[in-house]
Amino acid sequence: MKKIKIAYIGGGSRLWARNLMSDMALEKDLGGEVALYDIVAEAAKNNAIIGNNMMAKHEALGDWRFTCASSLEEALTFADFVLISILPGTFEEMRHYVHDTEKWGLYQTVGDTVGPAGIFRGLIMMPMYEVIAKAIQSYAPKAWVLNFTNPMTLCVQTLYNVFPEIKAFGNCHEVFFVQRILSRVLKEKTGLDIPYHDIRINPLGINHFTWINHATYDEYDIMPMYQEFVEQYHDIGLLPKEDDWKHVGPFGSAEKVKLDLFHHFQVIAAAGDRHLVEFLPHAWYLNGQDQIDQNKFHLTKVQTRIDIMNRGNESAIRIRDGLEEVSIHPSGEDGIEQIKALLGLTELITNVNMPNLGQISNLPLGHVVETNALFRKDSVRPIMSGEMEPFPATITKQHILTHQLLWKAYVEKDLSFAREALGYDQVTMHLSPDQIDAMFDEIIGHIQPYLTHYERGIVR
Amino acid sequence: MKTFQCAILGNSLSSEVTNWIQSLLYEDQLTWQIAVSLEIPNQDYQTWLLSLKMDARHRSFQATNRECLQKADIVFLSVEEAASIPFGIDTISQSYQVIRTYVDLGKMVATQAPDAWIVPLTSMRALVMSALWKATHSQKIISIDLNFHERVLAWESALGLEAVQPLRYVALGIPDFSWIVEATNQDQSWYGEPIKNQFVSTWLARFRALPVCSQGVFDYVYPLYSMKLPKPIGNTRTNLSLASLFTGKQTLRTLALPNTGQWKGFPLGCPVETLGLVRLNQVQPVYAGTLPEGVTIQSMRLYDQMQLVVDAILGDSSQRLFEAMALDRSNLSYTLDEIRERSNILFETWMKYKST
Repeated sequence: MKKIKIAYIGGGSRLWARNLMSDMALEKDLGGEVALYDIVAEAAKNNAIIGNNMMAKHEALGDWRFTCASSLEEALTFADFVLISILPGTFEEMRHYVHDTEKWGLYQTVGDTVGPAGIFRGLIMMPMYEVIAKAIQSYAPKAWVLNFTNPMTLCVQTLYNVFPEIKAFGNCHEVFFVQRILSRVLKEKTGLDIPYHDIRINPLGINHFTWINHATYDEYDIMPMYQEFVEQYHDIGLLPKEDDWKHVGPFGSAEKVKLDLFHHFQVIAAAGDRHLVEFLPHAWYLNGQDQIDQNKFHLTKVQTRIDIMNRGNESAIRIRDGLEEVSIHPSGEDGIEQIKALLGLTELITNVNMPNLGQISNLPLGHVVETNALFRKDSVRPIMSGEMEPFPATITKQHILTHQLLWKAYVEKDLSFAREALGYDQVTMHLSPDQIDAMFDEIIGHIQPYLTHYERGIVR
Repeated sequence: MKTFQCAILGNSLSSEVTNWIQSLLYEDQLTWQIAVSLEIPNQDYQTWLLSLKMDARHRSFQATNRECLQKADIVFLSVEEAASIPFGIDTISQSYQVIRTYVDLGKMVATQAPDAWIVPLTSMRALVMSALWKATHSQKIISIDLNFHERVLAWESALGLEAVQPLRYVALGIPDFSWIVEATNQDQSWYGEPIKNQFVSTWLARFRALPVCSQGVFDYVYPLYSMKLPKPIGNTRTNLSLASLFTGKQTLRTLALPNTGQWKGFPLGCPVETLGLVRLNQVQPVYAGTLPEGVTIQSMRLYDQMQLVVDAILGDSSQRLFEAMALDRSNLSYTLDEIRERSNILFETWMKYKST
């Protein structure tokens, strides 16, 4: 068993931390220490208890000790791996940057990647990530850094911008869900029942706006099958009954948007519908509740997230107090497999977010993109994945350039660049400059405590 | 005295052709043979000839395209068109016929006169240059905006600066959507001091650069901004002369060339309007750097849209046309199905034109 130290920044997380601890418990080849660090120390403490309880269970195969670190320095010192999953700001700020835009008719489905929410969340995140990147540079410069936080692209970009030698990549599971759909396509068209991870794909794009232009299983080309599949399900979506989408929960959808995007652009959109729509012009899928219902996806209310968090907190306290049994189950995430590969225990090809070294030939170099990469001992090599199809590439470039504007706001400490970025986003492009200014001013007013880094441009 | 050959191909002889040819004839030490395509009606040619101030040193005649291109040093491409602005649906609608013709002519020049300079005289400069680049990959495609200088002077006037000669500036952008990135009046930098002029400050606060485009183009790209550009200072049209290519006398000109790196981070081959150093049979773009990020976003969108239009036309692709339409600002309020419907109508019109 390989013994390592993992620093978990945002170690009080209710969802990601528990998923990871579960995966660790089920991994027989790894063990060591996980130092949980969180600005909410209580949450990290609770997770340490939960993690150690998991390890005490008879089905646990790993040998991990979960500790709480009181500082980044303590967490990072001697760390071989660093995991980052934080919420930039709190749900109270998120409530404003996700829902206040509704006054201008802008509904945001997820609210953590692009669009107004992505911009404001990015503004809050960047100063935090500068601190984290500098701490990694000081205390764990050789460690591999796995980011799980959104906005993924901008988070990973910030890490590289602050500490260019960092060994970081971003992890996202959205593509896996689409692989599951492709697995279903294969089954419906050939009768073959194959685990989703055996479907070979070529993903290209930026996080949550990733596209697949090549999908195979052994000698089967799934692309033409998907074409037929789209024709079959385009109007109804992928759930058995007309109204099923209403019962799939706040994070679900009938996948109609990605079918429609294939119908129009002949490439497989490889992210959840709720993410995809936030990258596209407002009139396509987000123009009012009727259109949203027609396309069968949900707007995830921030209150729903708060409720989930509260339930997680209550559960953590019950587990801590011995009133609730902790359960172990595989999360379906790749994190542990990636760590094993980076230790040389396995070899892995999976999708990650890293700066473009040419892996997507028609996107700007240096900007963080999502493609497959080859994981081996102490190396992650992006796979040269070719060109994105013209239309997705065009929209992607618009978002990349908006990110660059946001980064400029950070470097110049000047929010006027962020105001400008808000006007160039795909979902806000139809609004007038006055409407953009009003939206910007209103939301900035609510998140100002997190914007002390910015010295200029708060008032227009 | 060395004699050079100039060819004019296409189907029209506009006043712009006259201006260009006149600028070449102006040089004392050059002699020109001007070969005009027989595809241009003889009556138009004769009328055009009368408008030229051509002395006995020079000679003009009509000939087949092949004959025109023999030994051609510079080739003007002039095709009839009437787009109101060089971007957007109106231009896309008209582009099928125009682009096809330019590309056919460009390919002909690239094969029969590969060393000649190619100057498309068109109001769709960026689109035509993109298409020509895609079809020929020639680095010798040049375009100059006749009204460029008067728009720069308009800003000089708006800034309250005294008109100076020469006014030194660097513009950057895709043709017809370029921006002043640096300008000086003698020792005074336009962007060096806090701008006291309220009108100009508003522009700089919003864009961080000053546009050198027409009001129509500005309104197309920024439909909700309601901002008025300063009125061009009349009668100060850009000096078109590219005689330096033939005399070797060095000049600096703002002109559009395929990007070879002068616009950092923008795709190679993209038509870029910026400063070029013109010398004997050579134009070297001056490195211009980048535009403010917001303007870059808009420029990239225009450029990507043009690429899609060119692909649509050269590949007879209804899909690429649909994608180009989906990017158009005037379609922002439409759903994908509605945009598809509009683009199908346009595509069918294109195909009907093709079949006739």
